[in-house]
Amino acid sequence: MANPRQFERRRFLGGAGACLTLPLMESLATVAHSAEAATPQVPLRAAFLAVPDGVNMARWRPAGDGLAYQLNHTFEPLTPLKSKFQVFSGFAHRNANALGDGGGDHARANAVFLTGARPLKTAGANFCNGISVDQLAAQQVGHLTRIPSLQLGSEAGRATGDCDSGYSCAYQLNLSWASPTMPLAPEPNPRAVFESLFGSGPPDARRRNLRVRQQQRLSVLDFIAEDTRLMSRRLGGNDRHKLDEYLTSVRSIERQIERSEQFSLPQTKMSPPEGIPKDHQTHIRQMFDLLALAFQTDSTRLATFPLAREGSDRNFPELGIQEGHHTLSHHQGNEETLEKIAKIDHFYMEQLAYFLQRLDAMEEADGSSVLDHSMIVYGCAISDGHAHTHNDLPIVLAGGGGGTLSPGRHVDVGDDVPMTNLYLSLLDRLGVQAERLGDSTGRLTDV
Amino acid sequence: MRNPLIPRCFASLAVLAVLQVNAHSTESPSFEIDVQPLLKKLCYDCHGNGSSEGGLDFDAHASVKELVANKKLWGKVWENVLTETMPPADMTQPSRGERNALSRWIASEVFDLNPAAPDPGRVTIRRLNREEYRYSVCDLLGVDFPVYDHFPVDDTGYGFDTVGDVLTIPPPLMEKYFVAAQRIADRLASPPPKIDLPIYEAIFFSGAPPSDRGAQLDYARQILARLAGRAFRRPADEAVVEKLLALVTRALDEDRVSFEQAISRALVGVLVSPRFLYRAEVQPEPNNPDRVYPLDEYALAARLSYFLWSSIPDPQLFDLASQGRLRAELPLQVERMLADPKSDRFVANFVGQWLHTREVEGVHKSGELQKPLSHLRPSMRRETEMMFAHVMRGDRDLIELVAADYTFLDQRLAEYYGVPGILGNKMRFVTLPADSPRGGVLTHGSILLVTSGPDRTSPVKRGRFILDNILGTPSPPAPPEVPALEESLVGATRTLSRREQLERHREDPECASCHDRMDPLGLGLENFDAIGRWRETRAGEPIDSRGKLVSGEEFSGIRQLRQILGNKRRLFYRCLTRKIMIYAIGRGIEYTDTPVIEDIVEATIDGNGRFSTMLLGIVQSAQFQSRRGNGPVAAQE
Repeated sequence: MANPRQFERRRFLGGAGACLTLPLMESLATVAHSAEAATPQVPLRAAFLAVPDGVNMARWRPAGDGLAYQLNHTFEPLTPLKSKFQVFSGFAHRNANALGDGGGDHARANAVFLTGARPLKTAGANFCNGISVDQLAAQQVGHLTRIPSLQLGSEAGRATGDCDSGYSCAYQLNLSWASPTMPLAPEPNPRAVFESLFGSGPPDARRRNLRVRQQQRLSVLDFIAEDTRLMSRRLGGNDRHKLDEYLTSVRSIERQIERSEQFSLPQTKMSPPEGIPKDHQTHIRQMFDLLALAFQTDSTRLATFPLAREGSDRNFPELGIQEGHHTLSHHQGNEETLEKIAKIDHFYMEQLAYFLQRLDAMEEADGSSVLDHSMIVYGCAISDGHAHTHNDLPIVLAGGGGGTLSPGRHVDVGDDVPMTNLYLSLLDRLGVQAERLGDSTGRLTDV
Repeated sequence: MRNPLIPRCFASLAVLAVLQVNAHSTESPSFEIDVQPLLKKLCYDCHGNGSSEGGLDFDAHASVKELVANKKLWGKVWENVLTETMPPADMTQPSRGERNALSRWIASEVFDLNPAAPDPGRVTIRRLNREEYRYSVCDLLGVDFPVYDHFPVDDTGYGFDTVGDVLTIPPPLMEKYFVAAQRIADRLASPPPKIDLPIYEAIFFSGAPPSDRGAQLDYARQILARLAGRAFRRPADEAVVEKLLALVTRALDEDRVSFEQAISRALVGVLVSPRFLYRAEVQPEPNNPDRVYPLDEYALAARLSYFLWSSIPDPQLFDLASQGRLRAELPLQVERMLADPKSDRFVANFVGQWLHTREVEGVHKSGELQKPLSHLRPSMRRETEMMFAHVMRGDRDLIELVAADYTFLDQRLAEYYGVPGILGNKMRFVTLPADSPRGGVLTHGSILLVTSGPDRTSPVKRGRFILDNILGTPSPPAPPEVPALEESLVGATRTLSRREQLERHREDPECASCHDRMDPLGLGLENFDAIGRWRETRAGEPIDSRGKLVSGEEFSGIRQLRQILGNKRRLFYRCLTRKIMIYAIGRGIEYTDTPVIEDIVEATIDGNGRFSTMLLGIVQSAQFQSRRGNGPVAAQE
């Protein structure tokens, strides 16, 4: 059934040029059949959450291995959920290192966190990263839900001017990459997320509104698809590639309409959020509320969410911290500064705890919780913010993975194990076929 | 307001033309006769005769041919010669003529650039950014769609959100374009009490539709051709109009909707069409990288209007393009466009990114520093924007942006700056008192705010800002494994004064090569705190704002520093030319652009720094006016 589209998409990818990696092509060839076979009774979800600027490892690193381990100070908010997550030590993102490209660790850290790829150093022209784990999954199993994947954000504004040391801001600000050249911007407006989940207008009119909207869209889709082809003929290679991207996105709208015949719009008692909250914690929690609802209603099974952008220099007056996070992260070993970093780490951990508790309170038909059927990755591609180290990363994997994960442990995976090896193992569980992702060297077996 | 731009513009253009001829009329220079003696005189002390500072040794090459072929080396030499970074201030300095000779030789002999046939570079088809979407919809339909709530911030390249390479349309954005288009189109089809008059009148240009079916379709066809032409920025092909009409007739026949609703269906089609969302420029042989064609007049009109208005061409530009007269009337049109209030969009969007004033309202400040700022941030942003607009519309010397003795204030900001006698909340032109340290954008609250951390100033950040955005001599990024200098000091050495902290690091030669360039500039601004207030002391210690620039000048305090920077006209004009070009053309600057930029800089200097000279230089350049084929494989640039 998916053959013509598959062809379209491959044609589009074929135009993407030299930065396109082979694994993507291979994985795309297996789109249709793998997904259906893997559909479990209770759906399995995955979310990838990033925190910026590294952590205070001395306050993060757990004591002991396996089940009999002790949580460190930063994990205090997660204590009640100790049996529901595991802590990993030893993962690395080697492509976040300079490797001859000089400065720009924050841009690279963000770009590689979910891709493991080598971001080409450029401020614009020929920019190129890799596909991200969530999008690789969305391309194969995204059609099983009404919304293939969500990209959430917590910052309305952005830095202007140049981003980190000669890298285009696209690298530093987007976690999700649908292709090496197509980053997906995080959505910072909770209202927009709400409307994509539950529709717009008064509650009793939302389904009808959506239906009417989609009918109108259908009539326009043919017009623009045809018109794009006419337009494309007169353009050069690079421009055509951009139009191919456009056409791919138009097709995704078409598929979404097809899917909506299969999935009805869920209803909710939650009232639509007003807009973007001013307070950071309120903002993050509103997004987590929406994400939890999205998982509960099976509107989507895949999401990414940077709790702040990599390199964030946000200060935390509510914690008594006036200095910016990034400024602090270059702590030079100063105890007082490291304490402040630990406080910020603790703050973000509280937000994670809030989210996990919400998921854990949501009951599935079989009596288990949504958290039991989730795989929530939380962490950063920088461990020590001062030296910008990209190994021994601070990583948490929460949730039971539908009984396929072994939470409640601290696992030391060894030295410099690619983070992407973990992702491949998670992709297996999602029913996604992938041989490689970025710098992966295999699968993580003990997870 | 009568703007005396025109006669001046012609004058400056004449200068430009003469310059180009002069600059390139000489025989092609030779390495042995024209270049090697210069290198020996100016460079060999450190980069020859066995010395190889910074890893550069001119005579370490086996042959002249090999040396000349080393493009990477010459690219760096070229930049250092033009930005006057080399030779160092304490060495013999070349004359202007010697710098130019070296530059010309590098352009023609190393990079094989032919001034008679400049390479306009490769520009990727450009998606409208959210500002451009907003204003295009506004000018097309009279609807101010709330883009900031609806669209995510655009990705940027080379510091600007006009760079086509990084402006993508992933599926979630396409979804948003549909939602936006439908919400806009809804306004057209609202029943009478809720009707949106501006959009109704924009579309139904000759009033309510006739009742006769045949006449209705004729009207629809006219409406659609007109709408699509304006939205797509060139006359719509008949085939496109017929396809849009088919949307209308289907809605009328199958869905039995009203005429207005049927037209609104086609309006959605227009607003999600790639012809609207992307600015495509059609050229013959689009895949032949060796062929350069002038833009057709419609594409030129669009480049111009998106450059100066962030929007679609107005009817006058469109008509001139349709008559093929736009290129000939360019100076007149540029003058008209700048006088139009729509050019405020250029000011907000260009200055907002060039000088980072877009960040002013959002940048984080610590608790105790937030209170004095409450309600001040918008005035601070406006101050910088109005300053630029003043220079732009008054066709003044651009160096005033750095060295002015005036600014724009309302009562609140005036009190904040300690300028007496300004009452009320209207921002206005203010001549600064002689004893005020303010004047020039570097003393604006806006820039002082965004170049500081939440709770403290950052001399390094401020210094880098000046290098990047005023002098155009960016320092290379810190070497890997070396933490950004000032950041590495937080905490550990808090008891040291800021100056001591920085000096300690400049003792390390690896750090010093860059920080000698950044830090003195930033330290010169230390009398302004993290929210731009004047201060005499920091942590109880008097502030020492003396410094010596790497270019040799010594100064004490912001007034002298401003004076020094105000004398660096060539560097500032070059920096600004490059920034405006990136914004206008939508790509990064390449070495192929250097000769054209140097000509514009030269003309701007001769034209006493007038904005119109620089602007027309850019608008008249091959870079702005023509396209090269991009070829299936992107050229190595």
